[in-house]
Amino acid sequence: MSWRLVEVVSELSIDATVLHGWIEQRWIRPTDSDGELLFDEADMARARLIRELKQDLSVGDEAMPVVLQLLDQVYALRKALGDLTRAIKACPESVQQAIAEKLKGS
Amino acid sequence: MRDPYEVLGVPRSASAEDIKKSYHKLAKKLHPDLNPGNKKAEQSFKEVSAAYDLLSDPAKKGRFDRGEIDPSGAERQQQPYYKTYAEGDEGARYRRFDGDESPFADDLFADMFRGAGRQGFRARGADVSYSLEVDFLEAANGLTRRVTLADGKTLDVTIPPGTEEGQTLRLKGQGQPGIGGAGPGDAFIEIHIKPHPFFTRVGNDVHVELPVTLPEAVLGGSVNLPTVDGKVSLKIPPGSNTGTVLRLKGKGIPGQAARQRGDQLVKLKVVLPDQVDPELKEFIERWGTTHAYDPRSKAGIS
Repeated sequence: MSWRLVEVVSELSIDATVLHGWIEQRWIRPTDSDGELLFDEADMARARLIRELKQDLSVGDEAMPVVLQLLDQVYALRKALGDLTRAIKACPESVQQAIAEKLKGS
Repeated sequence: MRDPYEVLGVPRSASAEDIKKSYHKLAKKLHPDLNPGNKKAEQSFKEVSAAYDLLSDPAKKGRFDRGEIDPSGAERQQQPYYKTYAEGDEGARYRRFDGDESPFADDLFADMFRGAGRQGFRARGADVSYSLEVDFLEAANGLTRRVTLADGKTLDVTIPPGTEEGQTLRLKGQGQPGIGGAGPGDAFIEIHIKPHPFFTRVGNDVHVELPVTLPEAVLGGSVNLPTVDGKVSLKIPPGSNTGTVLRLKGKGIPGQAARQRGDQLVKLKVVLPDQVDPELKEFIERWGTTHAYDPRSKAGIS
């Protein structure tokens, strides 16, 4: 599912210029489809998160890039750990046990 | 549904400003996108959000305070959190580390895959162990046995002549397959030897107790006798006794790399006939009266 800019603006009850600002800062990176910006679910949820960070959590524009960058790193690491977990689960039992033993010791 | 004032930790007399402040404080701590993987935080955040929705709306707050609606009357419709997508394909473009697409290039993980480059994880396959029971003669003479491992794989195991009890054979590369192009593990086959009805093994020598008749013991003779590799004829010298040990050189367990072929040691055991007939009895009576001997004093038992 994807949304156009006007739809995002109305869904989130924010100003179009505010949303443009977020896109310019690359906090949100919608897809450019023949000159029209398309927002997928991740973009929409991310825009909602930025709005909540600003409104409910009082994150200012200065701090926002830092917060987003750290969040993105957390998710990248979580994804990497998830991939790693799946890779380990695909290994022979003995390998999994050896890894579990090592982790116990650390 | 808990009381919204309680959820936000404010008294009923709290001002709109206090309610907002308390909500902001809790939201910063509990926001699900800041606590991915923490279900409890998400639950608490939902509760806090619902409470704030109710208490931040003067009309709803008034109705609740007057008891016209219950706390659930104001639950916010749940929008999908960013974390729903953040680790999936949709979130991929936001996960890029500066200048690099994968955190596996990051110093944290780079160490782990050093040498493997971007090809991924490499690990030698696991070793597998298997225990195999063989007959005494099979272990002595060697054989090839087909065994089926736990994973359904079949292996032809060559048991060399002279294999000992508990000896472990290593079949290189017959274990579990490796990962990422690394070599397979090894299979270890531990050999257990079933006992034989009359042979016992001491090192590379084979011991056997051979029953002989009274005439064979007294007069000597030739008897057919099995060895680990077939029957041989054994000469029993005249005057042999129970406990006499005859050695068949080179008829024991075949030699291995570090050990020469053993011998077969035959210990004789004189056995009387099942029934002592009158003729034998009469003869021994006669013979005994003139041929007294004392084997017990020789053995120290008297």
